[in-house]
Amino acid sequence: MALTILAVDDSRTMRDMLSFALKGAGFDVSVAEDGVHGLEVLPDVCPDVIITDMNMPRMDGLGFIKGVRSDNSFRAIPILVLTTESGAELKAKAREAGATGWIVKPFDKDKLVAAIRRIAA
Amino acid sequence: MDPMEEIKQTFFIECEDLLEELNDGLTAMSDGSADAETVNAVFRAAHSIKGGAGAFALDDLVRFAHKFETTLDEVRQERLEVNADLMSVFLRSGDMLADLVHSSRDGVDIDAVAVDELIAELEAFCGSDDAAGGETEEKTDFQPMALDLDLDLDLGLGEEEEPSPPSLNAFNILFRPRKELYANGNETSFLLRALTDLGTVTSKCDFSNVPLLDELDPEGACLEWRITVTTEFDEAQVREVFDFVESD
Repeated sequence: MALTILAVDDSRTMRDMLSFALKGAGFDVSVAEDGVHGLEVLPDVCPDVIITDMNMPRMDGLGFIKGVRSDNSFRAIPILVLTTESGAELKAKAREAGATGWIVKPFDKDKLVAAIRRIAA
Repeated sequence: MDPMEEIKQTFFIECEDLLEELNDGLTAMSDGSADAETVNAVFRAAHSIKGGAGAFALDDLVRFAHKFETTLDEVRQERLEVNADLMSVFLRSGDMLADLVHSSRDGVDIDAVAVDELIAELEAFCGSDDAAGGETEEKTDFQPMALDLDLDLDLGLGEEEEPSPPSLNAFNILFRPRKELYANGNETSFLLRALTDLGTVTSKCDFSNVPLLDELDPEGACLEWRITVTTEFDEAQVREVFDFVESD
């Protein structure tokens, strides 16, 4: 059975790009526009892996990760941060919030797929 | 149409919305009616344009958007105060960003000197060697990915303890996760499985630190593994398996 990925990014371009890349690799992909939307769709999507941007309106990536980790039903889901930023301080905050891994945009499709397979059943 | 070309067209359409948002925000900043969220929205617009442009290797657009975004971030972080001089640069930067988006879309050249001059004006406010500037040096076009490789987990790697065929390396690994590894959604069995993709793996799990049931922390970490990987890959590639758990 295909793994389900929830991609959370406020950029439609990035959502389309992730959908295209990950569907092509055999994953089921759902998308959300920001952290609030991501938490809303989480119970319906029940993803195996979450990929999230950091800079988003309404609720940023840190808030979203904390929201996922605070919900007992979803706290064990691996979360990859996908962002243009690579600052050590922000990485540390993301890790503290519960991020599983960190990938810098623009991303390599094959390496992203390999990273997903490394953290998901 | 090629799917990536279709997504590129979506990017340029999205840019129009982002540019409108950016200009609305700059206008509010200019007339003094902006609040923190307005500055955030302007920053995010420049940031999103940069992110999408990077995916399509629109390097001139990335370079300018990055400098614009960096200067906006200084304002956002309250390290830089908005005044008439800065607003003048911001408003012209908004126009330049639009010009660069349109020139990228239409495949026409833009006055590179004018771009460089405006970048120099932005750098007068934000500096020329900001830490994030390295991002623009990365090759774009849907290719590069930076991963954390500086491990500090308790991962003892010992190379070539046993005789191996000349083209193979043998690594002895002591893998002792902390509970944060599990709390952040990582799973030791997946990491061990990933090692098997590299070559032949033997592992021994040490249960000696597992307490009696009434003392067991269900969210704790008390197992450790002694692993031998025989592989044609080098140490960096073995370490890459553990790159997401560097401090866990």
